Amino acid sequence: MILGQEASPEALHNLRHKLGLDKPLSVQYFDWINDVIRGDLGNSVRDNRSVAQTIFKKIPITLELAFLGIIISIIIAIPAGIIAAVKKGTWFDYSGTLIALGGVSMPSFWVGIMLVYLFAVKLDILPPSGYVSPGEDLSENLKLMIMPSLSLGIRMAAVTMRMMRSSLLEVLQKDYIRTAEAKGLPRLTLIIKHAVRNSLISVVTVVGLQITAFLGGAVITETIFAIPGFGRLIVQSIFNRDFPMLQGSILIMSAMVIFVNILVDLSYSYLDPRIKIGGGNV
Amino acid sequence: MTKAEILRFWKKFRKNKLAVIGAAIILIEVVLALFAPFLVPFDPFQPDYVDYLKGPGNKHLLGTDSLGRDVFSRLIYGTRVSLSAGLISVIIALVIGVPIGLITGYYQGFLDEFIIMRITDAMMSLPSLVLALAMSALLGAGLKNAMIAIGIIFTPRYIRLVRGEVMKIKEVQFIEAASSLGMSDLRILFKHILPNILSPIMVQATLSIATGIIVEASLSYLGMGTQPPTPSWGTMLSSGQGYLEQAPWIALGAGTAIFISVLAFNIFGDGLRDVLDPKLK
Repeated sequence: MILGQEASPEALHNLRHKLGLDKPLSVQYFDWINDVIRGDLGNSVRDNRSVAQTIFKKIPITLELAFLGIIISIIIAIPAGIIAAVKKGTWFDYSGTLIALGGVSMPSFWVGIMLVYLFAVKLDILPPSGYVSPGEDLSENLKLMIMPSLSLGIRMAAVTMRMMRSSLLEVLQKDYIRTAEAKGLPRLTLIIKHAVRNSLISVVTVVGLQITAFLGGAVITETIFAIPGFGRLIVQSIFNRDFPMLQGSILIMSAMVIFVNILVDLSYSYLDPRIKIGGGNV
Repeated sequence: MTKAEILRFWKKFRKNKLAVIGAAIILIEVVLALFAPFLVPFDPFQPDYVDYLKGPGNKHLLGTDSLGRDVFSRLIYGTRVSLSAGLISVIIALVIGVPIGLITGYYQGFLDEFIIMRITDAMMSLPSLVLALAMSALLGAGLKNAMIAIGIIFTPRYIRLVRGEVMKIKEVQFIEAASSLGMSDLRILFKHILPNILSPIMVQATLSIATGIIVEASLSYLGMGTQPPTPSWGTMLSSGQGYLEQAPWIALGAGTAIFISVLAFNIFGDGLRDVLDPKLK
């Protein structure tokens, strides 16, 4: 692969030795783990770039995409979920449910392609693909990021909205809500101050869990929109059979997912002070 | 299932209009997939170098692609790939996941807590698409390997689901009764526990088919799934993306096909859950 089709057996042997491919798989694996613990993810077999450096250069790009996508999904989902719960059983609720089911069923890459068709080909108001770093030109960067983050955000919004609706409905049936109603609180204050905050826990969980799906979605979205982020790096290293790069990327991605899960757990105690972290006295 | 049970199920199920529509769409797609060669108006593999990139019209219902192949016929053939990818991957996951879930849930202990559960944790900490991609890179591109990869990434879900259900049900008295009658563990697991936890498994399986269709389409879109010239919705989308300006109907048609099938399985699964598992909602 690296030396081309017509490499001499000797050169092949030397290369294998240099890359450590002549050792047994288990030894190769422990060599790798050993290096990882010391913070060395190795070098790409393709172009000898440092894996760690390459990944850390790509992560901010994907984080920006994820951040914008989450914001879009929350802006759509939370109000829509609240209205659907408050107006339960009306046409708004039903059409919301239907749209949400539709949103979950649309593959995000198709949404992306359709957005390109609508905004770039038909209306010609947004550039179809590419990437400019925000430090270079912020407005151009945002313009290029609108469609990718929309295509990721729409799908997420559908799930989050359903969660918001059902957990708010549950909270609204609680006794303390009836008490608050009985003491004459205006309905809006009641919903915003008393009900929504208490229904946010499960919503935060869903948003947190979706970040995993989000990183997966980034793989495809970045390919459609030619964004040189973390997801595209993974796809490229798969096609290039660049295994050190792939191993490193997957390791970092799992670490990110675990980190997000910890953040989600920590946020519970903020949203519901009754939940304590670390087994303190209750 | 007895006849009365099926009747009772149907009575409840048909009240859910959306789910019935979903079931109908699935049925139609199954027929399309099975009888594709007799239903297509054109040979989906036959290029036509005169009528290429033709818009939807009288001769070609949904137009032609860049090689002049009939998009409508290719979409019908694509049903085969998508449905079988969804179905087979779920079957793989069931065959591996259900027995492991049954056994770990029933016996628990060291193997369950420290090995099986940690492996499922590790697998579930990665986005399924990334895992599927990595696995098909390892196995090599192609539909068969894509199905295996998708099946393996679905497996942890079933291990977890079945294990949880088994742990709940094994405390119930009739299981205790069965074991005090001296039945073997194997018999208890497969004859008494499994039939009682089939509902959540079936619901999860239906919903997984929907995910499987999306993941297969995504893999094919990225070039790791179905290989040309086999018509699949994912590859049609990726080749259609290059002709968005001249021939938007290619990507539009393939995407709509994915969307409708996934939606059908999702609403069918939701309906199944309402009927079979009224507690879960």
